[in-house]
Amino acid sequence: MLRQELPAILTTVVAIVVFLGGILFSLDEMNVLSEIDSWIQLMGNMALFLGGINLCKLHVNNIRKRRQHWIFSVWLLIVFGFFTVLGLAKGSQDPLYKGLYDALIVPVNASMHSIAAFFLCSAAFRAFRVKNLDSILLLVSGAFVMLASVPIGDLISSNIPVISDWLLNIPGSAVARAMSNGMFFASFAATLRIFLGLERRHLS
Amino acid sequence: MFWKKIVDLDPKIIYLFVGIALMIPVIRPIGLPLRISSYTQDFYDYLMSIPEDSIVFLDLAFRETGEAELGASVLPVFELLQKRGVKVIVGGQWEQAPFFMQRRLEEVADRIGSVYGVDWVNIGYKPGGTATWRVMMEDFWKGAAGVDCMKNRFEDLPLMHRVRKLDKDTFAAIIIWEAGSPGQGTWMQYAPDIPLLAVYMSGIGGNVRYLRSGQVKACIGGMQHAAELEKLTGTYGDAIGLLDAQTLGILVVLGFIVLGNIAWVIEKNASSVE
Amino acid sequence: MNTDPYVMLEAIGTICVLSYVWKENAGYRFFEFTAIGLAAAHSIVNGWHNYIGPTFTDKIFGEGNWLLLVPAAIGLLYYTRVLGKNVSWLARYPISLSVGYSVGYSLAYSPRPLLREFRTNFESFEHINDYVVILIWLLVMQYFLFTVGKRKESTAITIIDTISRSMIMVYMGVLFGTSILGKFSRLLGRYQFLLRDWLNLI
Repeated sequence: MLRQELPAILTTVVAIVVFLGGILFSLDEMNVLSEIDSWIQLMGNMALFLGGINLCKLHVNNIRKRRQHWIFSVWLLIVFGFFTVLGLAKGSQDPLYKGLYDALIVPVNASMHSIAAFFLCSAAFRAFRVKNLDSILLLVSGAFVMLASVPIGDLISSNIPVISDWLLNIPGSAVARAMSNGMFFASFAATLRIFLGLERRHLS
Repeated sequence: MFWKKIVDLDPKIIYLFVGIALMIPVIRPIGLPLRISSYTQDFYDYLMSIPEDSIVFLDLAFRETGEAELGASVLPVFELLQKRGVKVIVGGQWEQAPFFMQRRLEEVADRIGSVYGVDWVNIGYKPGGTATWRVMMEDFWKGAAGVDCMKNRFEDLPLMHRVRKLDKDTFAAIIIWEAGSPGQGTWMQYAPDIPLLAVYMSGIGGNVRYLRSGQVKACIGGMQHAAELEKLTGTYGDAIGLLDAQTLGILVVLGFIVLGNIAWVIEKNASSVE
Repeated sequence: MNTDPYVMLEAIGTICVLSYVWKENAGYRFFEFTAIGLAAAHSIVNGWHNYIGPTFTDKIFGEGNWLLLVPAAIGLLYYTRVLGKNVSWLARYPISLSVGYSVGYSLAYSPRPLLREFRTNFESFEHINDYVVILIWLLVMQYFLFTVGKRKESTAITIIDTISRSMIMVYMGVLFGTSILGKFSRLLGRYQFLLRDWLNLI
């Protein structure tokens, strides 16, 4: 009862209260929802250290078992420990903390995502073959959008931005709307299953 | 034989071409003319229509990966609003941008004479997701724990005394720089009556449907629009300077796709003849 | 060349990460692991100073709002997941509350933007493009939602599917075009830093 049934009942009860609070304004006026919001906000934020703990567990395991790149796991734990202690003690606005954050995180993360530019070009060279109508449409629409997004498109022809606009506004927005509507129905169905207590995977 | 080599071209040669093609215009810009699109003009016009002394919320919902593209438009918008006397509250649904953009916003504010706490405040990222924003809509101070990103108490910041709720009576608009989820969906679901402007990463794409439905009042996206905004506001030039490089990059990619297809067709015909 | 230590560190980090394009190497790994450790630490630091710390000092101990200790205690149950199988089931309580909360809000508020978009489809019929939008929207919706058996046996359905797929391909082309520009922008940002802020070449 305590391990499975009670948590499942709690899920549905809270969902019903919040759902009714969202659609019935009288409940909102009684500030029921705002108290629930505050409680859930604080409760969720208490899991602050969980990510760090799991990260340490994973890398300590790597070090113990001498997995590939275990020496970098040692370095990761040193960095994690140093910055956590420095940040908690002196705050995130400390000049050393902020300087190192700006010098390390920002360029490294930005660079990691920017190398995708090279891979995308290589993939486009290899994969974009004009075999059938679908691939022709994909290529042509992509080319129009790319050219319209840079000044040279307008220089080549003033029709390129017009066609690109049409592609964005008409088929682009219609397909995007249809796909997001379809995804909404799927996620709504999954949410409804949890609401009705038919889905309990979140409790496993 | 030659076309077979082209079809099986080593990827590192492609990387080299792309890398050099993008680098040359950065060092030596070509200076291609820039036309202002209707999206950017509408975005700019909306910013100019926000009344003086009203408050706008800037939601920096991106991380370091979006710094080049989205960050390029944050500063011109911030400067434009501050120069017009519009007060700004900076925050974010993502953790990173409100933190690393703080220094750049401070530089702009110092240059134009904006006073922190009076003209603008950065509340930083407040963890908790939907619950946090829901609490802020009822009681902004409670949801934000009563402190800004530098642990200054809201009581000590004059601007925050005007901000008690995150609602349409307090904020004239929300401007979101969106790189993914959570993003504009939060505002569309929970604060649909506050006018929303959006800046998208990698271009507007399918998000243009929100413009058609009126859920977004104006939107821009990508480096092209950021460059156009820089031109309209007469500030900076980071995005303008990089647009030539992007042009050459696009031409190189299209050139490789065309070359790849020509080589593939010739190679396919040659092998079918054999 | 700018020899400020932070700028040098940023430049070395950028070059090491970009070198992954050529070949994976120790420099890339070093900065990758550094970034992961720093990001995890920053999450904790940010959450503590921006919310947890002020809430406990001001709201709970400052204003004497002791009732907030209840959700704080429930939130601590999340950590039972790392304590072993005997007690990890206790984490189901905060998870169930959190999931119930998200589900309730999702059911109450998420239909609103969708219905707004539905309404927009049918608001204007002045231009032929409005009809084209509705047609494409209906065709693509049915393509995703309805998996009818033996579709290929019906000519009408085959034609409809071909049109739907073609429109989806047009949209995929639009997405490809915009995404490649986004990737270039990130790379150009790094180039700008290396050439302007570090090497002072521009």
